[in-house]
Amino acid sequence: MRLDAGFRVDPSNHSLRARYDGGAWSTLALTDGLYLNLDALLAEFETQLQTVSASVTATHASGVVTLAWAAGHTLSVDWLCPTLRDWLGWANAVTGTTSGAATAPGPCLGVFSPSLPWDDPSPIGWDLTLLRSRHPSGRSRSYRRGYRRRFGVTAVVLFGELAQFRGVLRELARGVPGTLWRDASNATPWAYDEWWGVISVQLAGDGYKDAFPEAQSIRLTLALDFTEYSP
Amino acid sequence: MPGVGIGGTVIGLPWSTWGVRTWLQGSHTQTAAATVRLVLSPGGPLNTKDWVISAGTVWSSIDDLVATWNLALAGKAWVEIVPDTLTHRGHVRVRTQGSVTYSVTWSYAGDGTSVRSRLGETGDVSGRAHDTVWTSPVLGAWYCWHGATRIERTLSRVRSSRRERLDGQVDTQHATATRTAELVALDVQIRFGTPPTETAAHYGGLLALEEFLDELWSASGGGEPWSLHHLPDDVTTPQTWHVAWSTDEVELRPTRVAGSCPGWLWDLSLSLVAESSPW
Repeated sequence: MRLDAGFRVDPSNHSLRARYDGGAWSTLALTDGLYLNLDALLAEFETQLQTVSASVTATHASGVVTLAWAAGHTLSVDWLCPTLRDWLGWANAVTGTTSGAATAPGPCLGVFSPSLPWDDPSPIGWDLTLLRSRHPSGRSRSYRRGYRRRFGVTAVVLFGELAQFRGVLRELARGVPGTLWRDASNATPWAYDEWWGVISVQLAGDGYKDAFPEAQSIRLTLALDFTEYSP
Repeated sequence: MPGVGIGGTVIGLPWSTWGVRTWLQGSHTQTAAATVRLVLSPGGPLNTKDWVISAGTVWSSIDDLVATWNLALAGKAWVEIVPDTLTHRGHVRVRTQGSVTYSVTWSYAGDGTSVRSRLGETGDVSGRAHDTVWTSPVLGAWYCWHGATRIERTLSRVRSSRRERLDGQVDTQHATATRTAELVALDVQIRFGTPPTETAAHYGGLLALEEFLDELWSASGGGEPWSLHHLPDDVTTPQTWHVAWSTDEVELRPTRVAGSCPGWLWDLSLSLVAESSPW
C-alpha cells in the first residue's frame, strides 16, 4: 500500500524558474488545482519543465523525486516558492550538472510508502445518513441524506517512519484529500473488479488516533478510516 | 410461492441444494393508480388478467408485491423472483398455464411504470416465452449466498399490570389485543461472499450489497421499512421481518471471515428495528 496527501497549487506557490544548458531563465507556472497524489503533481511539473527542454522527466521512487534530462546537458531549477520545493523533497535549488539527473535529498512530504505490509480487515463499508418523518398513518418514512463509501486500513509504522507518516496524516487531518494506493504499482482507479486500484480519499470522521505504542513495541499499529473523495 | 423459487432452478447453482437462506428486499410504494395487464397467447378475455393497483398501496417487500400480482393472475400465470447465486440479485420469471407466451402492458390504465422499473423492465413485455428469466435484476433485492449467522430480537411481551392488595387479593389487567405489534430491536449478522463456482469477481457480493443499499431509496417507490427474509433449512415458509435501520446514522462495515480465502467471505452486522408481535 501507499498513502499520499494531496497538494493544492495556487498563485502563492505555483511559480518556479528553470533554464537548460545555461540559457535564459524561463519562469514557469504550474496549473492551479488540487493534485491528489505525487504522480499527478509530477506529471504537471514535468509538463512545465519540458517547455525548457523536451528531454526533462520528473519521476519518483517511493516518494523520492528524480529529475532527469539528456546527459551532457545541464538543468537548473530555481524554486520561487519554498512550499513547493519542500513538498517535493528539495532543500535548495537544483543546480545544473551534466550528469543528466538530480535526485531530491528527501522524500516528498506527502507520500508514505510503508516498509511493513498493511492490513485491511474491513476494506470497504458504507455510511448512510437518514432523515425520518412520521406520516399521519403512523408509518415512519425515511429519506436518504447521505451515502458514502468508507475504506479502512490497519496501518503499521516503524519508529523510524513515524515522522514521514505523521507528515502525511497531518495534511489529511487538515481536511486535504489524498490517495490510497492498495497496490503501489497499480494506478488504475479502484472498482469492484479492480480491487487493488487507487482510491481518492479523505480522512473520515474527526481524524485518527495516534498513540505512542508501549515501550517494548517497535512499531505503531493504528486504524485509518477514509471516505471516498469525489470532487 | 414466497418469491424465491424454492426448489426451482436458479441461475448458477440449484438454490435448493443450500440449506439456510437469507434475502433482503426493499419496500415499494405505488404513488399512482395503475392497471397492469398480462395477456397469454393467443389472447381473448379468458387469457387476459388485470392487476389493479390503488394509488398509495405499500408493499414492504418485493415478495409481497409479487404475491399480490399472483392473486390477480388467478392461476393463469405465476410470477416468481429467481435468485441469481452468482450476482446476489433476483430476476423475475413468469410461468404460464399451458406454457404459452405472454405479454405485459404495465400502464394499461394509469401509470404502472414504477412497478415495471422495480421488476427490472424498461418497457412493455411482448411475446415472451414461458419460463424465461428476465434479463435485468429486480431493483432493491439482495440474496445471501449463505444464510444469516445471527438473527436475535429483543423480547417483547403482552402488556399487563398486576396489583396486590393488603388483604391478599390480587387484581390483574391484561391488554385485550394479545398480538399487538411492537417495535423490537433486531440484531442480524449476514454472511456472504463468493459462491464456490465463482473465481473471477470475488467482490461481487459487496458490489451487489452496495447496489441494494442504493436501491433501497433510489428505486422508484423505495424507502423504509424494508424486509428481511430468513428461511431455516427445516421449514418451508420463510420468516419475514419488516425492518428499518435502528439509527439515522448507519455505519456498515463488512469484515473478512477468518479462515476463508481472502476476499471470498464476509460478515456484516445489521442493527435494525422490526415491528413484531410479542412472543
